[in-house]
Amino acid sequence: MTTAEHLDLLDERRARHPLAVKGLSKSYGEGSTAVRVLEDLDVRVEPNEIVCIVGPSGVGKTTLLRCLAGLLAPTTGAVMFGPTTMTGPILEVGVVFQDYSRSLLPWMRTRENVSFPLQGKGMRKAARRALADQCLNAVGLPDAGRKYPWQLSGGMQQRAAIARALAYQSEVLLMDEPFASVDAQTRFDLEDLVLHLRKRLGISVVVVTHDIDEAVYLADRVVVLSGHPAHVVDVVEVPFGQDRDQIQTKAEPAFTEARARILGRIRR
Amino acid sequence: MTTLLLPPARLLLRLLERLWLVAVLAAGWWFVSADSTSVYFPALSAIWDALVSGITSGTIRTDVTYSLTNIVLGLVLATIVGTALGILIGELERLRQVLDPFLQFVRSVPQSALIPIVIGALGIGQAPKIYMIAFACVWPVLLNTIDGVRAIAPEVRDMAKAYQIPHSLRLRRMVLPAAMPQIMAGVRVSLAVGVVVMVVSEIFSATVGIGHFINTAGSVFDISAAWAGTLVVGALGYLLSLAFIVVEKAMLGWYFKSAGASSGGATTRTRGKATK
Amino acid sequence: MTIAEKLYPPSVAPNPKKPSGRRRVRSRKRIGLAAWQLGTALLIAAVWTLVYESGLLSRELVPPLWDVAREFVTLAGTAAFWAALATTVSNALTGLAAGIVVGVPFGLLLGISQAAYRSAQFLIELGRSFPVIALLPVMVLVLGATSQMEIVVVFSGVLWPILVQTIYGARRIDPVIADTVRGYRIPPLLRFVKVVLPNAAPFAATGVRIAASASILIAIGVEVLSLTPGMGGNLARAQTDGAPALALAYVVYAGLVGLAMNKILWTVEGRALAWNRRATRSEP
Repeated sequence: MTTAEHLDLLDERRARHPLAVKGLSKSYGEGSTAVRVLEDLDVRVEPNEIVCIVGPSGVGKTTLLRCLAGLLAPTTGAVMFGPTTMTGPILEVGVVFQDYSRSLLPWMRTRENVSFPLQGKGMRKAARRALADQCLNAVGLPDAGRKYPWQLSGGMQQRAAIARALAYQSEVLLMDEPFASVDAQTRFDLEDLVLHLRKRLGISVVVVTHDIDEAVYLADRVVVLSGHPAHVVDVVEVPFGQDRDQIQTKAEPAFTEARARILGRIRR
Repeated sequence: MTTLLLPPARLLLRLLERLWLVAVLAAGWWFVSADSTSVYFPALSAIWDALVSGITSGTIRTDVTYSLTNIVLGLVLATIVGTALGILIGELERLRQVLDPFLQFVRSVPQSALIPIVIGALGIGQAPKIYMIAFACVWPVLLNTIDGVRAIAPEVRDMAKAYQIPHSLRLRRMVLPAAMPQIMAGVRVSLAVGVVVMVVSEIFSATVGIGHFINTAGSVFDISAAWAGTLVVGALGYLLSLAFIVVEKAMLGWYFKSAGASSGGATTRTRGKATK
Repeated sequence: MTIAEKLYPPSVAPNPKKPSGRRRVRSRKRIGLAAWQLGTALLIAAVWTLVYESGLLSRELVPPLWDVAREFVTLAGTAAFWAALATTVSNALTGLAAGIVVGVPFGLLLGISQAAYRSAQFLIELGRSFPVIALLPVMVLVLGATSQMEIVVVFSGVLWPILVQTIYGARRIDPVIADTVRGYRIPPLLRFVKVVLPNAAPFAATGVRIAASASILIAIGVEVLSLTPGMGGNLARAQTDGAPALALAYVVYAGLVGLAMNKILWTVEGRALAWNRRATRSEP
């Protein structure tokens, strides 16, 4: 990835505040028919940390992520960004959605897609354009700005979605099953891109995934959800630091150990 | 589209293949009717003569101009009103639920049934006809716009929320383009409805217009001219639908291309609700 | 979590354990909605009355609502009304039946033969963009203001959606299925019966549904213009006789007939083609 020189505008991005949920519960419905999905969760994402949330499918991972993004209000408990309680989406938190092919707008070129949220913030056109191009560079898509999203491959579309989240000056990136629908090789590349961006920009990242290998490879901490309603059954620290390698890291005994522990937790 | 890329010989063959049947039918009509003595089915040559004389004397041109003005203005008015209201109703789910039975009913009312009432009340001038066309055309656009807005993917809505896109920008750059394929499908239906209402309003009562031309010719038993006028209406309908396709291509370039890109050439997507 | 789950959080999904509470919430919501709808209806009536009283629009266009309601009720008690309704509906349905009898076989034929399709394409495009109502003055001269004339005009209007939809359905065969058929060397007749027909059926049905609502509209339009007996003829006569309330009552009935037609056809189509729900919407 030879993108470091393009990142001057992005340097102010370094995460300064932790993102945390405290005693969070989420129910759908009211009264006697309410269905409790999440129960009493405490998760804290420190600045510059990567936290992965894993759990069996349907456990409520996406619900948690949507609460973190301010898209859903918790039933009880709170989502805190630094000292403030979040009541809705905020500038500092950017979201990368699972279905990138739908969240990128097909009637806009990729650059416009990336700069669209900036337009909403009232940024001038030239500045929008410059920032969008830098963010596209940062995710390794220097030439895609003029293309439409549907002219890009799945992996490239997901890079563009990441660029959009970066352009929004977010300190925290929330990613919902970000690489679920790309092929294995592309997936490894995108995982390395996330690690690279974290190191280069100092952002924090929350990744929701059902892939345990991916979680261990990316995360500093893996939060394991399970049960109905879902609660935190384990938090696994992963000791590999910021520099990781697809082959070597995954061959470490610590990797295998963390993997086995998480799998055991989910299975039980 | 692709025919343009073919070598000339193939192109000619394609063109022949497309046109021979119409040509044979027209020629058949010409020769079979050549000796016609029937009052009702005059010789095609006589119809042709009536057409030519109508065009050279300028009456048909005046009539066609009048009719075209009416339908274009009526359709534009309907599209603007229908799209604006459709986005409003589509965005406000509660409002849509409340209005749904009323919309369903109004759309089921045969528009041509309203023509005598509207023209009887408002007179035979041009403005009532334009309003009438607009009124008939607004429903397909409105209902399709509502559908289009409601069909916007939840991911797109989440995106707008997460990135705090302001309302006006969201409506202009996100909701409107997302609903545009459906809106255009509605306009296409409206065009067909509009042509019918245009002709009917002129047949019913007018002093000018292509419908009036046919009706007058019929009432004075100038059958050739009535047939000629009918053919002109047919040509008008066809040319309007061609013009619509050009406009649609221009408005929805991204849509047709993205459909082609994502489904490997099978560009047939399901859209549109036929309301006539 | 699937998209469906995101779209419809568990509260909306059926909950077999506690149905009573759910039903209560639901019915309360429905009552609220009905109240709003009633309010809207009252608002429309109020605006209508206001316009009538103020004389803002011609009173021929906006007769007193009460008169319309009275005519609406009175009409239902007259034999003439039911006769007119029966005439209109039967003419529309006869035209529709003729459209199906001609449109479906031709559609299948044009759908399976590429050459035939390309030859007829231009003709079909001309036909479907032709506003049939323009045929009316000529048809009135040729056939008179009769039911036959009405049926012919309805037929020439409803033929096209049926034809176009059937062609589309017969041509649109999943490439994988097409390959399978070729791979197993299915003979043409078997292919037609077992592959082309079932494929085209839902599309033809959609064409028939579109054509059915069009048939009522065309029939009434023809009657209004040519004063052919039927609802449309009565409507136009009421208007020229200076009875706008009666004319509007007929308009309301015409709308109800259209609505009923649509509802019935949706239901029939849904029942008949339950195996192929995904194909119920298609290219117009």
